Amino acid sequence: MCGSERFQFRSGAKPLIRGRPLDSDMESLHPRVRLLWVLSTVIQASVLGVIAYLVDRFAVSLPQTVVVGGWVVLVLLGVAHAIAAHRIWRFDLQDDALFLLRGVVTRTDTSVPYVRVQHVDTTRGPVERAIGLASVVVYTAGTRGADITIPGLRPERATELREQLRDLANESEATDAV
Amino acid sequence: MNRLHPRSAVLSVARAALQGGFFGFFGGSVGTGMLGLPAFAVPLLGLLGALTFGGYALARYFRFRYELDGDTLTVESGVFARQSRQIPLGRVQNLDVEQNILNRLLGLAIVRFETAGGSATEATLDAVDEAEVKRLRNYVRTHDRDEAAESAAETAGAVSGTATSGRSAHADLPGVTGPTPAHTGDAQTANDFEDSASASDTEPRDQPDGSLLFAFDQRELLTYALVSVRPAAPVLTLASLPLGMDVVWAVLRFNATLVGASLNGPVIRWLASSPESTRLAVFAAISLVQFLLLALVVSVALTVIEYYGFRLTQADGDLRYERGLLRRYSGNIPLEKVQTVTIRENVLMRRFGYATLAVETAGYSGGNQQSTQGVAVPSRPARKCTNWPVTSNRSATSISTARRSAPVGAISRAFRWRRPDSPQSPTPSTRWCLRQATGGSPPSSFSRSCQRHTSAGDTAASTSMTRSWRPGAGSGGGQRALCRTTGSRRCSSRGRRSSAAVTWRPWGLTRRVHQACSAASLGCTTSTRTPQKNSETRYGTGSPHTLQGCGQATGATRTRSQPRAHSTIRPYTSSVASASPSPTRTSAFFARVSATLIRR
Repeated sequence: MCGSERFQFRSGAKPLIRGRPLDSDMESLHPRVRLLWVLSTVIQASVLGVIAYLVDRFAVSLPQTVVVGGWVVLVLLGVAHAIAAHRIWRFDLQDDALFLLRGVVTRTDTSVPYVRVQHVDTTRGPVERAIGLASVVVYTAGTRGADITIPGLRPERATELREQLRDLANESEATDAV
Repeated sequence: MNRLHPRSAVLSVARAALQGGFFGFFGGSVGTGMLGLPAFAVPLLGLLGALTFGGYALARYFRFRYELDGDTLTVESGVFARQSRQIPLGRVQNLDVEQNILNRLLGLAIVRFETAGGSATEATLDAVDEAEVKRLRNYVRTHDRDEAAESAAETAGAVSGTATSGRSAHADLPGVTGPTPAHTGDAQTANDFEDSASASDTEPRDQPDGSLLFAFDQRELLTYALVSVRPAAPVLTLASLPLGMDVVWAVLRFNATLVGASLNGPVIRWLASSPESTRLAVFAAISLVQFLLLALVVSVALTVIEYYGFRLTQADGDLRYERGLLRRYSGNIPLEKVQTVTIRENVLMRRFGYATLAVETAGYSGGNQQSTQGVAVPSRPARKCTNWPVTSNRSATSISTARRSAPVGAISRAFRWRRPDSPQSPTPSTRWCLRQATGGSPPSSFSRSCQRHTSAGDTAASTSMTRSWRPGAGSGGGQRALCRTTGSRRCSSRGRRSSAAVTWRPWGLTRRVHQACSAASLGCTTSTRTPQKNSETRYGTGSPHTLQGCGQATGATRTRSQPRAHSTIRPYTSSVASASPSPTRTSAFFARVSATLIRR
């Protein structure tokens, strides 16, 4: 996993930092997750658009080109972000921890020791179900922000991953579980 | 996969339909008023609302399934957004059962599974029948026991090779009950507890209801209710006064006549007409006393309702409690999941020889204090906080000579708070958090210790580690490390509140708080120095606890180096981690405490 000299460029992604685990061996998300992200951007941009329309109607008048242009720019940015995020997103089940690489502007890598995993969810929201994807959510001990989501998995893979994580959490129990 | 009990479906559908009906009815009446809807729209909308809400509740009932299989609890739920959750049974912190009056009539119960993760209850089964409750409880408990036996065997096997003295002491522990002679480091404590521990050994192991540790009889409950002052009671009383305003006015009027005011109108007019100050003062004093008496009655009533029929039993590795007059609560707390043990007493309690023993696990998130099981145990005053670490042995001895103070003495002795460099320091047994305070290595920077923990894979308490950086920053600079520990959030926010509530309670009623936490469950440590030159060290676990005014004795208390005192959080250092006990040690301690409770 940590052979730092073996640079491979698969699916166009670059290794993030020298000396970090290479992402080439790691699993990436299903390509359709980009559609999911783009859709959510479209929804957000449309909400903003509606707000702009209401502002235009009831308060200050806005030039129409700005509203439409803003919407288009936002959606384009969202598309670019979704593509980049999908290229960067990697995760891997290591020996003792779940390892994740993500983030476009702010890169984040997270390792979650299995021994700290409390429980595991698969969730499928309405949009995800329409697209045919599922997410896995891993909860660690702690109160807020202690959950880690892996989006954009095929449902079968999500179930499999959930069961894998459950088994790994169970195995690591004897040592130092919370 | 199992469904919930059909009767619960009826209940929840009825409840939802009622809600929906009200909603629709309300919406309809507003609509007829403002939008000019025809009058028949009101019942129609009400019906529609009832049908929609009831239908959704029914769909939710049919979508909710759960299953206990092997070592996992699987829960599937959700109508539109589907969720499937798997909880390893070993991670279940508590299993709690709640029965409100309606549920008790129908023979149903709500079962809650808590793990240390997340901010809400992880699995709520609302509701199942009582036979199923028993089955779930037994399943979880036997699973835990098998697990414990397995891991004990594993540890013993692993240790026989390396055999450091401290480790072998751990391995020699037979499950959760008491110490063995080989356990030399803890010999003194072992002796102290030997008779009680062996007494608990003779209990039949598979006795279904376990052995009774503590129960209130009516008189004790009333005494406890009288001496335990609930700060919420005056507030509640004040808030509910407007409901009985007529009575309040009548009482005030009576008070006014008592001080000899000549009334020819409402009391408020007499007050407004600026009467003599002595009369006014007496009037105010009488009213205040009446208010306080009322608050006391409310407080007693609340406590009695909450703790009526309290029973604490121990069955193998579990503590089991039940309590409550109107709503019955009961639950299982596995001993190895216990994070802290707290003894709390206020002035009144101390006078009458009572104290509250609270047990906390990591399973409950902020605000939900239902896990903290208060028990009144007899106790006796001891030294001031500043003397704790140094004189704990002395005060513990003085406590243990007192006739009815066994539990407090037991706990104090088990603490063994002393400096690690003292010659008679029994190293493997000084496992409680104060050891960390006196013997911890100098604090390293937050991020560094954080990384060391995760990379070394030692018993540190960080639950996950996240590193993030921005483009342009190399691998060296500009990174930000974030350690999440079990208690970090509470250390920073709730920890502070707790310290205010516990140690600086304005009217000084709660004077002494003893807390024990196992080093294994220690999440993070916060040191602060207040303007009053009081050093204070905070230990985060699943719940926070605070030592105040112990600055000199607790050597690790840092003095000036902290820019923002309250926000400093650091995980405990690995030198302590290596000396930290296995979870079995925690249970051993607890077994002893409980054994002493039995002796009483």
